[in-house]
Amino acid sequence: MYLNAWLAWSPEIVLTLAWAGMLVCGALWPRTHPYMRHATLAALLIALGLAGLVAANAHSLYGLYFSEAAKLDSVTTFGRLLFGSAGVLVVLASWDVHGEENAVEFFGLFVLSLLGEVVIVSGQNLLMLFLGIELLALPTYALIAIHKTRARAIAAGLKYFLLGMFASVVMLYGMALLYGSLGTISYVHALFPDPSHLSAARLGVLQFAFFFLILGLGFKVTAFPFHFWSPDVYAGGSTQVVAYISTVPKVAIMLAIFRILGPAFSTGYPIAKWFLIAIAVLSMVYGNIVALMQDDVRRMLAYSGVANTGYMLIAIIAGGADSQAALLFFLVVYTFGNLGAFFVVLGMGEDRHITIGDFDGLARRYPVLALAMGCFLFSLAGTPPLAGFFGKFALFKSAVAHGLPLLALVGLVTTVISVGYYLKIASNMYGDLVQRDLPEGRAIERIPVPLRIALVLAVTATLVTGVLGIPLFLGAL
Amino acid sequence: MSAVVGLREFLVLSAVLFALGLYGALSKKSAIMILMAIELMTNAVNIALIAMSRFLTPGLMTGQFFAAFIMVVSTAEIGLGLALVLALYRRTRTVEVDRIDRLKG
Repeated sequence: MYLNAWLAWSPEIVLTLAWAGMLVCGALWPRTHPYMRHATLAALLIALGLAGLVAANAHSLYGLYFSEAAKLDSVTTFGRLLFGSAGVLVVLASWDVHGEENAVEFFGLFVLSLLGEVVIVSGQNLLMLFLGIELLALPTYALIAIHKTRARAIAAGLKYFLLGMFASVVMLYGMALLYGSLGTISYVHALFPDPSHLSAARLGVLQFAFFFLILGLGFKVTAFPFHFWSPDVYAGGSTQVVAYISTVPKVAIMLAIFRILGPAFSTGYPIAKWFLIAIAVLSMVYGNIVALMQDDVRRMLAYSGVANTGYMLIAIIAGGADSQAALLFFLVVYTFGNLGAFFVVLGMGEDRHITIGDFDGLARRYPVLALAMGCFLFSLAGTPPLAGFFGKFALFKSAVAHGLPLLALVGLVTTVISVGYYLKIASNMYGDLVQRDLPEGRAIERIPVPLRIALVLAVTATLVTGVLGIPLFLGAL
Repeated sequence: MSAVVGLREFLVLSAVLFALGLYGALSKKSAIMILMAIELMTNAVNIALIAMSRFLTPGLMTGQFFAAFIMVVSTAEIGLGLALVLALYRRTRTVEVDRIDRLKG
């Protein structure tokens, strides 16, 4: 059993060792700083390989570990692989930006926060969830603040930190109440039990606690009333960090919410369920409409993230195995689409705001970059040949299958709205192929090779998920 | 009127502390004061956890351990928070949150 535990958690052990090694080497030998990025990339690739090996030996390694504190199953493996691949892309995108300066801090913190995400996804009790969220969040506060030139980045980091801590404490209060009403913090068998076994008073406390818990978690996934920090923070931090915090942490916490609520939730807790439905609907409507009005592309992507949170919540509200499959698929689509879109913004220049006008005539001047951006945008929008379409289709189908046709309808209508702002960029990029006298957008410096590789990988991932989505789609018809 | 201090009294204390912290976190302008208010809320959570652990599941110590972890994590948080406050203060000579907001650009 001991050997099994070492093998089963080898990807995390490798990452922890890499982090510790980087910290020690960086402190003792400053000359190693330029190699931190290589070390991070190597550690991530090794961890990905090990995660694959563990998944290949699922029958002997999957199960509960550490006194039922962590669970290794297909969802954990999914998380490991997705976070690892996203991590590789972010390291490639940060290759030149953090090659020398702040390399130890940047890559060390980055690895720590990836570890936090695996803790969140594999955790089986509220303590693990709390520790995972803090391990994820504390490095990201610092990552936002690390920026060569801008005081604004530190201000954004401090703002993110204060609001994030506030949300964590509110979530903790919810956890304390949950513990008080249930007598346990474990959710090995789902946290929310069948309500018919609970007294009315306990049920009341439980639903009350649920509000606090969702307030805290909703902040982290930028769901509607708790999203207000995201546009400012996204506009303040450096682009590759923002690309990271807008995707991977959200995915991890969504998976954790799915684990926490469990099968009894969708039928037994009407008030809490309506609360979630309200959040989902408002996120979709508000996120998409406000995104339509943005000029700064990073702010637009922040609001598009709010809207996408709403879509993910649809699967969580619906519950059930088919919704889980839909959620996992959509999370992959969202991760690569969003990372890619931010990487294109990064490629267009780091030093100032990138507005929608900057995309004018991009297709003529930088056809490959424009094609990549088009691919990400249309995937995020959910246009048929690309992955996003199958993701949203699966989500809406699971909502209809679980008796929530109106929720699916709201999703559909807001998706149509969202096409508006995604298309605005696309039409700017390709507009002057039709009409010659449009103004020039901004010139782009040479895009570094690692970022190019990251873009190619993100496009490939989007296309491959799209192709993989076709059988899923046909099977559902 | 019983003189015994029971779970209810601890939970009321916890709720009052939490509400005080909530008020402080939402009303104060200085980042330091907000940090302190959030610490107050954290300690309210700790009191609630320990009281529930003592009165509801006395044999298990779950709440006590949870509270111990929260204390460790919140120490780390304060370390990071003060570092951020200092870094910002060196550049802008202010720790007031609403003035930081105006530093766009």
